[in-house]
Amino acid sequence: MTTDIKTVQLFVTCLVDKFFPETGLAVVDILEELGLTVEFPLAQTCCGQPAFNAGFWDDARAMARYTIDVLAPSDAPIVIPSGSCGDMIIHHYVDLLADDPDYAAQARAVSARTYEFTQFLVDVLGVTDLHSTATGCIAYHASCHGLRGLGLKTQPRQLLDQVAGIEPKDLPGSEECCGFGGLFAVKMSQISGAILQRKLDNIEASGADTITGTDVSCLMHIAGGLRRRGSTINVKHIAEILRER
Amino acid sequence: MAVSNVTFYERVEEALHDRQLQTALDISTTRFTTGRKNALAALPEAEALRDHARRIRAHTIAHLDRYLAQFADAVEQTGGQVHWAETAAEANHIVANLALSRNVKNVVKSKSMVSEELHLNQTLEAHGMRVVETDLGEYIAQLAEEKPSHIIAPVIHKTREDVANLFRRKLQATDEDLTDVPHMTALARRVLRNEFLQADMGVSGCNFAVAETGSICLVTNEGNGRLTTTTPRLHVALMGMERLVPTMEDLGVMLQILARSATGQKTSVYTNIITGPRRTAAGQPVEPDGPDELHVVIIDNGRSQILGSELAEILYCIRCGACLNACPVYQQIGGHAYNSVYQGPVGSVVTPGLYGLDPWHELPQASTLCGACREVCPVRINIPRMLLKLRSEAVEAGLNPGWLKWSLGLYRQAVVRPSKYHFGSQLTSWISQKVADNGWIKNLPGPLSGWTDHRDFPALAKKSFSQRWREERNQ
Amino acid sequence: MSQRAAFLNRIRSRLPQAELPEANPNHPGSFRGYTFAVDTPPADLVDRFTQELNALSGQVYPVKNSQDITEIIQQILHKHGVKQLISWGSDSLELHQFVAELTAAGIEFVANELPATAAERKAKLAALDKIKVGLTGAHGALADTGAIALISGPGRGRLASLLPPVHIAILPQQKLYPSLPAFLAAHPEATTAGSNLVFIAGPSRTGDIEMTLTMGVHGPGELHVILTP
Ligand code: SF4
Repeated sequence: MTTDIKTVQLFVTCLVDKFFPETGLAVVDILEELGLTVEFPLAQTCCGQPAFNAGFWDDARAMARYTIDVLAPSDAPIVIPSGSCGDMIIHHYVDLLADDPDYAAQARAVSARTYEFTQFLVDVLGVTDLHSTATGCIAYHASCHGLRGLGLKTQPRQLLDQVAGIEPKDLPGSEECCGFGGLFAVKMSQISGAILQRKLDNIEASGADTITGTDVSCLMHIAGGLRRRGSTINVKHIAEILRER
Repeated sequence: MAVSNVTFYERVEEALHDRQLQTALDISTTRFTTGRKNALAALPEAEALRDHARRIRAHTIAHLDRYLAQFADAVEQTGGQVHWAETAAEANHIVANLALSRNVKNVVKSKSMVSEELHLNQTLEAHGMRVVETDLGEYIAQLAEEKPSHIIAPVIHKTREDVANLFRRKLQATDEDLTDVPHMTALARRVLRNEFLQADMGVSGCNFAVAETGSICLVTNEGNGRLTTTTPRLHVALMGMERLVPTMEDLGVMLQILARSATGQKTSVYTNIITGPRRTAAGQPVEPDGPDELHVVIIDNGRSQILGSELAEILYCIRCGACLNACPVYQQIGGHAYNSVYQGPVGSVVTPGLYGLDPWHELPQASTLCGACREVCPVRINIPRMLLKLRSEAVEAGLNPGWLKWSLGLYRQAVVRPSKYHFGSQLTSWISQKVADNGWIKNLPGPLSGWTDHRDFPALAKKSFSQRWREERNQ
Repeated sequence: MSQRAAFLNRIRSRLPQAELPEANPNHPGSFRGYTFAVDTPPADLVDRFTQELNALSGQVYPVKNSQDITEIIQQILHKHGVKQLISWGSDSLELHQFVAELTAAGIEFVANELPATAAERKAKLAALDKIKVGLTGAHGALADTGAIALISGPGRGRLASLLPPVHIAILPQQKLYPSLPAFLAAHPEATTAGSNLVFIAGPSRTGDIEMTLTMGVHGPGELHVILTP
């Protein structure tokens, strides 16, 4: 590690907070093991992406302003275990609040110090080897917003490459959407479900026993589909694999 | 444009259960996306060309008035005539008048998306003219009285048996004619060749128009674009007002990426560049063939509405179809479900842009916002940005279901008040743990049942991350 | 106000509200600045062109002289059992002594002038449609795609390369260019010289039925390019 970063702010995302706390704990473990102090502003809630994507921009703006306020007291880099929420804060906050006299500049400042978790490790800290040891045949699903919004093409794979003891499996169509799309999965559930089936077919064909990725939202979608199929394939956020020793 | 009373959801349902369509979509979209990928990978300058193409399109649209004027002058200098149509009705009127005043009976058409916007065929047929589509796929669609289902491959939804049956019914095809695809193609060639020989007027679209020279560029693989613009003595080109590039060199850039993005071909078989009608000197033709009259109809039909909006970027589109093939939603539902001339991601922006959001508000919702369209678009159009914009307009226009507005409003209230938020989620966690089986829920209530129709839903954790943080770190 | 003025004014009135990312007031300039890494070196142009056109099911015949052309054309006509061709005027064909030789051997070169009246035009088209082979020259060719470029003009109709099921084109080797951009750069007049500039890359094809590749749907199903020194 060659930076002088000592402290990070963790924005854990609403899904990790309420549904998948283990992912958040894994992220904290990894960051602390790297010698960083992790700040967790307790007032944080949701970045507002569900409202934004559904077109409820006034609601999204309110949530964005709130989140900016929550993150404002510190100027440490903000780390988010989600490409999708990362994309929201890094790109969409800036656009949403561009005409807000009080928040436009703050939105840009927050955007500039926000990173998705694997991006932060690889691009900012320059770390790829976390001395992890895990087991299993692992395939990686590239979530769309991380991949295309933030350019997370290589970082997660670089990190996984360094994990001892696992057998990487190729996921056919790894960069194809899983069909989640937030409220889309509810509003247009037939289409979403059909897209999901293709993803699940590919997952089952990959020979992996564990699927990983950077976003618990897509992973939750995939896991729910696998369960419905009666599959025993595990689904884990990348941080949980990287934490294993 | 007429909106059918079959809903979007019904069409989707039908498409998802159409086995044959599903197979056809699988094969075609996979082949097109792989073809595109390989073709662009084999072109080392591909990325630079895409950037350049985007700049050309952006610059052209930003100065569309100037380039259209330059184009029109150039067409007139070569002996062609230019017509300006603000609406579909005006465009139809112009074409019908041209045809009637020249005693046109038989019309051949090469593929033109704009003409689908106009419903030109119906107009001309109402005047007693015979109108024949000549692109093989479009011809099959016309025989079947259906709409094309893909920009590039109009009848990918049909099997060869479908086509054989159609040819038997409509063309009295014999068993021999239907032996295999080449025989069927040969039959269509014979039938359509007659149409070309008898045609009084050829109607074409326009892939690109070149402002500096007044040229129209048509790309086809079959050669029907060339025949349509060569055998009849009258050629009418329909051109959406945004189809321009400033120079021939710019056209060269576009052609380097168009076919590669569309079908994965390095080039289409025929790149046909037409500059004026057949040349004359002292009133006598000096070229052996070609049409004696060339008319270019420049069509607005809602485009200026798009231009003056946040959707203007969609006018950079070069109609390659790559975004359809790459779209996970299109891959599942195909073109007909959109019920519009323009389908897939590009259609979900263009259609509400041209015809208003109200009747088409489902289209921008039919996206996961995965960004695959933007990634493959040769001119890098940010389609997701515009889908989001349309969704926000739908909210302003009150086009969303009440439950959504209500629950997002409630959610917002909670999100900005952490105590409410955490209390609410603790309550939800408790309930969800109760109804869950081993941490997963099989049936969610109300509108959320959409989720559990297709997958399980996780129960909320017993203790959230923030609770654990607080407890473990004594904060 | 004229239709044109109204149309352009409407556009002008909308442009200020248009959101046009990356639009620059200045034209982005020529692509000639790019070095095209795929540009084939001159020595390899023939090979590359041949390879590309073959991949599209087109045939290439390198020849030394007019005599060779005579033989190739005779072979093709013989294969199809015909003695007529729709042809460009002989002064638009390279090494055109072969025209006299073939004529002497009983081959008929038909010009395709279409009359101006509708009825005469259709009659002429119907007659031309019976001819199975077309013969043209070429103004250029693109090695990276295997396409040949034809410009219409006096004695150089479009139908010879379009109407018959077989198209023979005579292409002088020195007219090979690495790519479309290179051709356009060398021939800025190509589009305005005649009413039609066409690039032809192999035989006509379609994949519209079940994506099954089929040749010769509307245009020629065979393309033979004779490459002269
Ligand atoms: S939006 Fe882009 S990808 Fe889609 S058809 Fe237009 S140019 Fe092609």
